[in-house]
Amino acid sequence: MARLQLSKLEKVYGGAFKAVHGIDLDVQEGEFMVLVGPSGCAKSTTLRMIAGLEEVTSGEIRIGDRIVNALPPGKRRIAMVFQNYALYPHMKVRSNLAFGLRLAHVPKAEREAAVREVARILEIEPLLDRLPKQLSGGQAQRVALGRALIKKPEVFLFDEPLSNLDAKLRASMRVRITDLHKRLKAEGRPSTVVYVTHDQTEAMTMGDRICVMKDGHIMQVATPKELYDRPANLFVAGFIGSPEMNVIDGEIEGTDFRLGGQVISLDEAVLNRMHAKPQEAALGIRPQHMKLSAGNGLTARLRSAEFMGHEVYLHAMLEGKEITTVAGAAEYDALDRSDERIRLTPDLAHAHIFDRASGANVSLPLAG
Amino acid sequence: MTDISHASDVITAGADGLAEARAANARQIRNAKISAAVRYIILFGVGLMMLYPLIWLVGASFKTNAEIFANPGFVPQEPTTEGYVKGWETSTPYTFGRFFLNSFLIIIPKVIGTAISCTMVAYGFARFDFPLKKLLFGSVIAILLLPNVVTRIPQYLLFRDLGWLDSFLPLWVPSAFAGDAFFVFMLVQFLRAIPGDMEEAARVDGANSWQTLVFIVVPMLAPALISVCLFQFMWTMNDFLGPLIYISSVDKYPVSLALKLSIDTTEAFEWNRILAMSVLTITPALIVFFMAQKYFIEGLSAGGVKG
Repeated sequence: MARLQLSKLEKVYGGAFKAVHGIDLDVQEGEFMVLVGPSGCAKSTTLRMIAGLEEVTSGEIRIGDRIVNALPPGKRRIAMVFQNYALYPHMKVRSNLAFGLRLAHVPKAEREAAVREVARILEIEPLLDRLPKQLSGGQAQRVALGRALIKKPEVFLFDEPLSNLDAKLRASMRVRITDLHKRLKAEGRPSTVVYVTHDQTEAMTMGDRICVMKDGHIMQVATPKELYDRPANLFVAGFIGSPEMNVIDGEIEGTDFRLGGQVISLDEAVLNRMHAKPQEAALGIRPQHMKLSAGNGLTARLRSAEFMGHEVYLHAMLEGKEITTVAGAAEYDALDRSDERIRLTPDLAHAHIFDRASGANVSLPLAG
Repeated sequence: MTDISHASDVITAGADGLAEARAANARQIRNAKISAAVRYIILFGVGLMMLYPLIWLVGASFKTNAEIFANPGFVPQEPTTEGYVKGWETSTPYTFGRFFLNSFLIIIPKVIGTAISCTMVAYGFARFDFPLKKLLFGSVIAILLLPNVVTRIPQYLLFRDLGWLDSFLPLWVPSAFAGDAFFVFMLVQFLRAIPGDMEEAARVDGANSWQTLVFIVVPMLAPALISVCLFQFMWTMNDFLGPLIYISSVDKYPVSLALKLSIDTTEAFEWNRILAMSVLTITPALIVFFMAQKYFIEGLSAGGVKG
């Protein structure tokens, strides 16, 4: 297993369109790194460059101590799982699994032993003599996983492997993949993983660290908790977390944050954290940190409520901007909704101040 | 009392409605049956009209010469295999078997050569980027639109200078170098409809371009390749002009020329021999077609249907 390093990696299509803007990324040995971002953010392009399926315009890809830029995919000691499985349609599952080993001239007995072992791990033994078209989506994805596993690669690459599965199967495959990663680590075969997805739930639940990308730039690389608690910029703040973080535009005057006619007094906790005072500021606060309060606080007009079981998402308009807050089901029942007005108190200990112009979070401790 | 009578009214009305619906349903079934009957009668009639010449050909090959023109029906009154026996002997020192052999000596290398070369060229065009690709593919399409006749004379001069006249080489060598633009085009279109993921997976598995082509692409291309081979087989079997131009010795004649030979050399045509040999000539193409029919249709339609 090996460390994967990308440095100043760039991809330019047709000399004009720059898809990847010189990104640097360091994936530690045995780490599960998730690349996440909206469609078109170049996460798949980045993965395909690591795999060798896409040419690198400039920059360097290192796997272990080798620079692999010029190596064909088959020589990079990687394995890849594709979104639509990409099983060889004319080969039985057994041959699909063994194809890579066959090309590498591994003796037949060894090949068969490897197939048996992988089939056991993934519980696909009964499927070995079937053709891909006789498999269900979940089974096909497990075979695709097996085809990657059998090669004992240094780096596993996953390109949105679960997006063709239904929600229930996706959840169970998610657990299966993370379990497998942990199990390999426990067996002394830690595997470095780069996993591409557009689904933030997948990213949050699976990744040791997450790399959030947008338009070919890396926005932030951090652990799921760090991303959630301390987003580096407005994009990450909005992308990670469900329901989305509320972002309220306003101005800072002294210790006051003014939005329209209302004022939030920023306390020392926030002011001390700020390392810059932006011209146009935005206050970011997650829905669960906007508490319903009686009497004082910000006034908002309730628009709708979504009942989620143990809690209720309240959508309200605050100074012309839609915000969301989360209330307990009992709390919601007790709420006086006669005038459609609700009062909210932000928990400033969990609030962030962003610079509207640059998008940067100015209330985070500076790095280093 | 009124209540009860009212309820029974409803029941009768309901039963009437149901009976009406059943009658309508029966009418619809009857109409569908009538229309199906009409449809099949028309289809059978048109089909028979199209097949009639072929049926007549087979029937006439078992007639005597006199009966062919006397009797318009296709069932021979006194069936005889004389046409086959005499026709097989031919008026030359060679039997018809010799001409069949010649045909196959052209067809076999041509079909194999076409399948291999066109697959390679189509794979190149469909999957790789290289300088002047657009120009080269454009010229393939241009060749497709060019009438064959235009290149006959320069080709003849070329093969004459190579010393290939009166041999089978001019008939199959160009095809073995992907000379048939139509097949290249057809395979390119088919390949474009196959997603590239499997090939990428093969590359990640360590296959080089050749291994990807042989192990992954060719099996997926099989239906289209079968169509290519069938077309090439039938077109070559039926080709008359090519052998006429390049082959001058009778011992090298393929069946298409040999058939004409039996018309040329006899003063009073032995029609039953000609017809008998015609039946034999179309037999291989028919057998091959029916054997591969399933794949053939799959290959022709799949290119268009797959997104």
